[in-house]
Amino acid sequence: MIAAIDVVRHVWRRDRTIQFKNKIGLVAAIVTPVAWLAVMGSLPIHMEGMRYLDYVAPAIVVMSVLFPCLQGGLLTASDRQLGHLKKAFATPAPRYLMAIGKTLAASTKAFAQFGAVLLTAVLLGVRFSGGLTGFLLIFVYTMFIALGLSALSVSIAFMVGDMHAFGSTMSLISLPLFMGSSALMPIDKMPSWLASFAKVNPLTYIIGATRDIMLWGNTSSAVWGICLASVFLAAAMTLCAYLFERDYN
Amino acid sequence: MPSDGLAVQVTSLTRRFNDLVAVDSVSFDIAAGEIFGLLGPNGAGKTTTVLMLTSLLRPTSGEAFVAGMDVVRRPKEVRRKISYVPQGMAVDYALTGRDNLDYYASLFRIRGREKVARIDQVVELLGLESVVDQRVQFFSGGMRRRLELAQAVLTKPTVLFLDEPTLGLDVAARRRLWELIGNMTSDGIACLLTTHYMEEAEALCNRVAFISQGKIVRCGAPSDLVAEIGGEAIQIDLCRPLLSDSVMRDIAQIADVSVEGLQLTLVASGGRRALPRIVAILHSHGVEVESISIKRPRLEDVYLECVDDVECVDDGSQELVSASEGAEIRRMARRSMG
Repeated sequence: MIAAIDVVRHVWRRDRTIQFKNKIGLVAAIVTPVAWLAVMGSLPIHMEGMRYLDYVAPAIVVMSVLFPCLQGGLLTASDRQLGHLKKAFATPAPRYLMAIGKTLAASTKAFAQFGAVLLTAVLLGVRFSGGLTGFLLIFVYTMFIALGLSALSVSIAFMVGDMHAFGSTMSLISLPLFMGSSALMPIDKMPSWLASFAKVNPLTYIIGATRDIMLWGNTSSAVWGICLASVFLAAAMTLCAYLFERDYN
Repeated sequence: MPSDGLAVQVTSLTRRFNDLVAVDSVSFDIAAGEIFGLLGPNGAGKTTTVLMLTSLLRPTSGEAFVAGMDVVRRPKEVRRKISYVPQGMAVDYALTGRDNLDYYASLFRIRGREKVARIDQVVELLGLESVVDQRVQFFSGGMRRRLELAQAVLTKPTVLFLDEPTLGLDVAARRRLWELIGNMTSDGIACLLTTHYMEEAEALCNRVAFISQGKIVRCGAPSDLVAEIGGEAIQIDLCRPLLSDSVMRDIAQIADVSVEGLQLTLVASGGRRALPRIVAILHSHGVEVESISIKRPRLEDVYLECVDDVECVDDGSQELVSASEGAEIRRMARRSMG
């Protein structure tokens, strides 16, 4: 058990060190969602009977984990491309533990962004109904989503195996996913073509649950959300471990 | 069953990718302490063979034992006994040399004081003391390769797999690396290396196998293989054309001879030892000689003779990245990863 944790820890640390070597990148990553929140939140409009800041804040919280987690597999793509994984896979360390370590590292940046956004939201006076419990639920819920997205991203990166192809694939997925959801406006205000996409977009429901917890302190929404998110995480993690354990070629 | 004393034993190993037979019924073995070279053009099946022996790829058929264990049935145990240094650059540029060593040791579950001691030992063995605490991005190409070797021996493997160990290095760095690889195997580590450099195979390998289109076409000690393709050729340039046939008749009694303009080419069974007698014959006929040179066949000539001149497409590996390409990709990665 200790030995297993040791492998996860070392893989996580290696990936983290490489990802965070460049401090400018880290600062930029934190500033981006904070700037989104500040700019979008200052729009003088009301949505569903509340300030736009309150409406959009839960969406920006989700965005702060969505984007970095989906990009989080980049290092795995380069590790595959440059032969690092070939070497690592020829060692006795179990590959599913490497998958876990890489997933943790892929979501680490997201947690920095998530923390910064949540803090900014509090400072800007965004509505928080759930109190400390709500806060905790949001944290757990978002953590599960983040880890699930990271595992998915690492899996895709491993399959694509090319950094540039991976980067463009993920940009292609993430922005439409965000824009085509209830992040910036409610579904009933959307043009019908967008609304029909938003209705099948899982992000709409992720953001919906985040709003329910943050703005209304809705615990049952949170419990449901955490259950679904953990199923998603389990599925994505299994996929990732399965890909790593397969024949390497 | 594996025989005792053999570090690697391969029997009829085959790997197909759909219609392509990348490795076609290959058999060879490597003794402990032996350096075995796998030579051949790109796409001949070298890397695919290495991937199977390192348990990364399952063979379609055939058997392979590494360190006495079946690579298909007991891959986990095989991985404990091997170190694999793939092509390209698989060390982490953003980490220090020591962190790279530490990370690799951790994957083998080497911990605590044991880890520190072994790292110090390999750093000294490979002469990395002055750079080991710097980031690898500041290492020279030769130092990076030495770091990879340090990683590889840190885990005390039974078999070491080196894929193109000196690709892209300058002459001095290459020679230093040869020396270091030679030292390692004197401790009993068996080594399988792939290379495109024939002089490297001649300098390092106890035995080599030429692989072409998935098949081993020639296998043996470099000197034996060279001897097989024939002795030395003697080339004599004359000042004037030969006027009589009697010279040729006399020489033909001790060597095969052909003439082309002012140049005689002789292949004698005694090689260069026939030279004084040939010179004496020429002298007695009053033939004036401009120059004499001896051409020794080399491993390169064996290669050219037995390996088909076919450009193959795929080695079954996606990571055929040259060292310079690797560096370029790393640079781009640093920029985009932030």
